[in-house]
Amino acid sequence: MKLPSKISPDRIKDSIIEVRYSSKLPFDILLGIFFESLDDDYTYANRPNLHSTPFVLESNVKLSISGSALFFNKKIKIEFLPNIMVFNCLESYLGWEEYFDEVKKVLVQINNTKRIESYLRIGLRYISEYPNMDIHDITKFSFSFGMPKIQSENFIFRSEFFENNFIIVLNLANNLNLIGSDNIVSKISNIDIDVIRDVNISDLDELLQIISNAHSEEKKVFFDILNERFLNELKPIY
Amino acid sequence: MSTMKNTINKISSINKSIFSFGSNADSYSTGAYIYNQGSVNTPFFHSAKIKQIHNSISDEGIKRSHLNKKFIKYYTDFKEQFEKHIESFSEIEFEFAQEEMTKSLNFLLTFDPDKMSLELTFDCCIYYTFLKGNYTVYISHFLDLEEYDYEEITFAVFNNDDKLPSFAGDFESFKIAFSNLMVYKPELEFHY
Repeated sequence: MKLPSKISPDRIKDSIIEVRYSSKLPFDILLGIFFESLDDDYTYANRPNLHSTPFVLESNVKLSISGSALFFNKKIKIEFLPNIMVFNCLESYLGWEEYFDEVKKVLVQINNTKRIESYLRIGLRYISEYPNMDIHDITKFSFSFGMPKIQSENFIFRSEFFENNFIIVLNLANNLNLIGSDNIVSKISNIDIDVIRDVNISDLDELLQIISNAHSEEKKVFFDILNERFLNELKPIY
Repeated sequence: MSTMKNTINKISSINKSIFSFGSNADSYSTGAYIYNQGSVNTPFFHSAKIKQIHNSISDEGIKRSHLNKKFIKYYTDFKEQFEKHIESFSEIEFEFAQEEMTKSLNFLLTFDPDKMSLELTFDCCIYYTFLKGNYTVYISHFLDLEEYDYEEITFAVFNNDDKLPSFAGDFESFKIAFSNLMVYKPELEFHY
């Protein structure tokens, strides 16, 4: 099947690339080295974890204050956690070429510190959101369970399978109730495709190739799932 | 002790997300708090742990990612305002202002405001307007304490049209006071 290079709207909410690595240095020291290695294009901020700072009780007991290191430029953000780097587009999806270029730039600078012993896992997870849309109208997915009169109000489907040496985790969510900050309930459906490979490599070019291949697999799964009618509505460019 | 337990329970309920693959099933499933949840983002419950592939980045990581996006937006706006009003901030180093702003902004964002604005004022103050449910909170985070002899942070609270007691104090006291304001209000719900 020929895969489009662009669709509009893409409805991509998150375009996550996660790289896990090992290093001989403790994370606190490594972070300083990474900070020095990244060029001035990136701004640094320390961000607390969700279950932390706010809940300071009257008795002055503080509940876990810890943070993660956040770097960002105008296009992407990178979060550094112990042994993990997580990339994501800053605002709307940049398109693969531009996004991958930004990711490559950071990985080259990090790799040049020569503090990464090996890369252990690559994950590429794209989550697309479809407000007030039914997954049956979007995809070829359907299921039955011996009760033909029943129509599910909402459902979540998860599948893990292997394809071309990748583990692919596919999550489909249909018509889940989303309570917005204004307390209005709306429906939302999701297509969540996570493409993962465990590795043990130290070569950066090999890492970049695997990330690129992971993206190709994600694209294949995504466009294989979409039904043709819906795909045509997205003005695909080949 | 019971106060601590009540508070922990309240904190747990506040941090429960309304929409994620795991907790969405929490809302209605029988025995949700008895059975072990599967070790990954799944609504499947079983008394034994389920071995499954861990997703790249957890649901909590995704929520954090969305908060990070908001943080970056405010940060960028703050930087632009600082550069625009550089004359008013001539006695203040940008790095210091940024560090102080990060402190208060990080703290306020974890309460997931419905709306929030950040402005820099001529008297070297970071001024937030924070809206959550029926509560409107005006927060002033002063940067130049020597010049103006101010408390570090003040806030004024309105519940609809009713004025509630205000606060003035240092940052640590502010965290306690603001947390107590937000945590003990049952009509406020937190959604990421």
